[in-house]
Amino acid sequence: MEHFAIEEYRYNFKINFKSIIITFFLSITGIVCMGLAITLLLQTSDEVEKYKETFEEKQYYTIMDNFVGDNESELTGEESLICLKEFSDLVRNSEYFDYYMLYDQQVYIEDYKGNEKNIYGYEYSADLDKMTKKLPAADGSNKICTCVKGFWMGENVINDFGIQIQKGACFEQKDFTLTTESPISVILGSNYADEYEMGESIYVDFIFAAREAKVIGILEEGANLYYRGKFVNLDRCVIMPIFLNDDYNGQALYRFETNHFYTLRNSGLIATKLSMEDIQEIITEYSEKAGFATSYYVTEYDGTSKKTFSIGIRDIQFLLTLLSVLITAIALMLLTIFYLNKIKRNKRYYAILMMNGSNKKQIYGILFCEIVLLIFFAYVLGTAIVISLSPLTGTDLLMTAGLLFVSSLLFGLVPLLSSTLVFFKSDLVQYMMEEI
Amino acid sequence: MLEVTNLNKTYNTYNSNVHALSNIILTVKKCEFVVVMGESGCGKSTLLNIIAGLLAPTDGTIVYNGDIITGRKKSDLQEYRCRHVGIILQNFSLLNDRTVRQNVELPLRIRKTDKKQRGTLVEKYLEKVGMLDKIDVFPNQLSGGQKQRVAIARALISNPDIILADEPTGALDKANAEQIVKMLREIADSGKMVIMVTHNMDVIKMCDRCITLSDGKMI
Ligand SMILES: Nc1ncnc2c1ncn2[C@@H]1O[C@H](COP(=O)(O)OP(=O)(O)O)[C@@H](O)[C@H]1O
Ligand SMILES: [Mg+2]
Repeated sequence: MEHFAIEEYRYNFKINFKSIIITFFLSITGIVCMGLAITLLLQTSDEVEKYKETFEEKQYYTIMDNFVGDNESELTGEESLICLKEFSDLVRNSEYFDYYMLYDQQVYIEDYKGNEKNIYGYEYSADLDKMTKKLPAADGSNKICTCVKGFWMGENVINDFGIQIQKGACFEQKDFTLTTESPISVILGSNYADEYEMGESIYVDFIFAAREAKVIGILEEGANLYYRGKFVNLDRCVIMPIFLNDDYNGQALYRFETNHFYTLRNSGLIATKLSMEDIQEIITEYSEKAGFATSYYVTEYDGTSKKTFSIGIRDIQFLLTLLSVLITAIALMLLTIFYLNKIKRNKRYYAILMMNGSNKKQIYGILFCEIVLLIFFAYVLGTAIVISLSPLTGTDLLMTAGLLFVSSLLFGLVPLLSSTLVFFKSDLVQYMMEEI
Repeated sequence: MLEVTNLNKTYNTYNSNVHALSNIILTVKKCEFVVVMGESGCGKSTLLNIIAGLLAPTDGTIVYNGDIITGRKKSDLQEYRCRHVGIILQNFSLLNDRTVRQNVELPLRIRKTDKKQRGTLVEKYLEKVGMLDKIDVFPNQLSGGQKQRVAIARALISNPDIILADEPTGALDKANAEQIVKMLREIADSGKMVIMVTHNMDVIKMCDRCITLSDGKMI
């Protein structure tokens, strides 16, 4: 036999159809928005965590050379190599700050097998056929190389910036010395995981030639790096080491190449607790020590880094989070008010049940039944909607179901507990005496 | 037999105590039709609600067929109310969005009677009050007298021994009121106890006994 509460629910369903539909959509909206809000908040807190880890205690500055115009001789002069090397050693081994060699510059790789989405300029709909160039290899052949995004890094960047590797290994000390015997070690972004194997040999451009390289690792999906005011996703990047040696197989490099090398090496990133003025003083001193007539200068890592970051978080994602939190709160409030009101509106109904032999528990069962069924169906339909949209949003199904379950629990419990409290406090006998 | 002894009821509100009933003594036997009179606010409804097991008295006892009803667990009281008490109120207290049939079968559904039995009982009791032809009609299509007859059928359907009627004729014209009182008289004669609250002096000639309350006391 059907339970009394469910039977009553069926009667009331027909009568209160409109309000049940309204509460149903209110619940679905609330549950879905709360799921969305939690997802967004988790994402944001991840980024804030990462930002804090990177920037909380330290200030970041870049150093730049001043070798333009009349000062250009500092780079082209006879003694320049010694000075550049000396300066590089000083900053890399400074006791006042950590120094990171970091430079984003595209890389050409031969026999490109990856997705065309990874090719440099894809996002600006550049002519992808022009993103190639012909480079001579050591064996005398010409290699057709394709331009992709690249990051050049010193030995401490991957570790200190918390960049995770999913397969293979990180750079080792030896990878930062360029020799003819061993190929250049490269680490690829996760977008290349399917096309390139660990240990695979590829050619990359390096000083006007195609040099053999070996894939030693693949970055984790979503690996990123805070660079020039925003988190740069590294999924489509090729990570190259910034070499430390000035010779190549015992043979000194051309001055032009040296120049190029030291542009990379000596325009890195300083992480410190000291002020910019203090660092400038130290850098001036290092420049003098190294024998430069003009000093390197210090700028903020990028003048707007912190500001852009906070604006970055307060962009669409922030608004969306705010909006979903707002909708969630409003929906929850309305739903709770609706049920608290329902007890008042149902005074007469409850009193009639009471005078015909019901007890309070039995009557409460009707209210309980209604809220539980409402939330259950709202959860089922809400999950169905979100999952059917998941091909668009790319959300994880299990995670979605879990999050929506948590939201549903809240959306069930808040109205349920508050109306339970009010219901058991209310005097149904009094209702009977005054209302009917 | 229903025996009410030294019944007292005090409502404690946050700023005052209302002595709604003091020392009520009342015995009602089977087939008796007792009328309770008195001015508004003298405690008539309070008395009926205590007898119904809906309210607990502050003091005193109610004994029904040898069982002490007062001072017992809520669930016992609930069972007593369910098995023995039928209630009729002034404003009919019908559910307006349900048909006469659905209204009358409500007590049976609350008592988990099975569906088949429910159908026959509803028809039987509606026939008794002369409302069988209106079985699928909604209450707002009925006159006051008809509504009260439906309410009486509903109060009787669970076959209670005690019928408590709180001003059942208060909202009716004279002819209808007379008809309802006659019906209650017949119900008492069929072997039940009927306690009815009313302002209507005409009822006195139909009832077996009449008690009058004033300020919660019997006079
Ligand atoms: N729940 C309550 N709390 C406080 N006072 C009440 C309550 N119910 C009734 N009363 C008071 O008790 C007295 C008797 O009420 P009631 O039994 O309803 O009288 P009657 O039915 O004779 O009009 C009145 O003074 C009324 O104000
Ligand atoms: Mg009254």
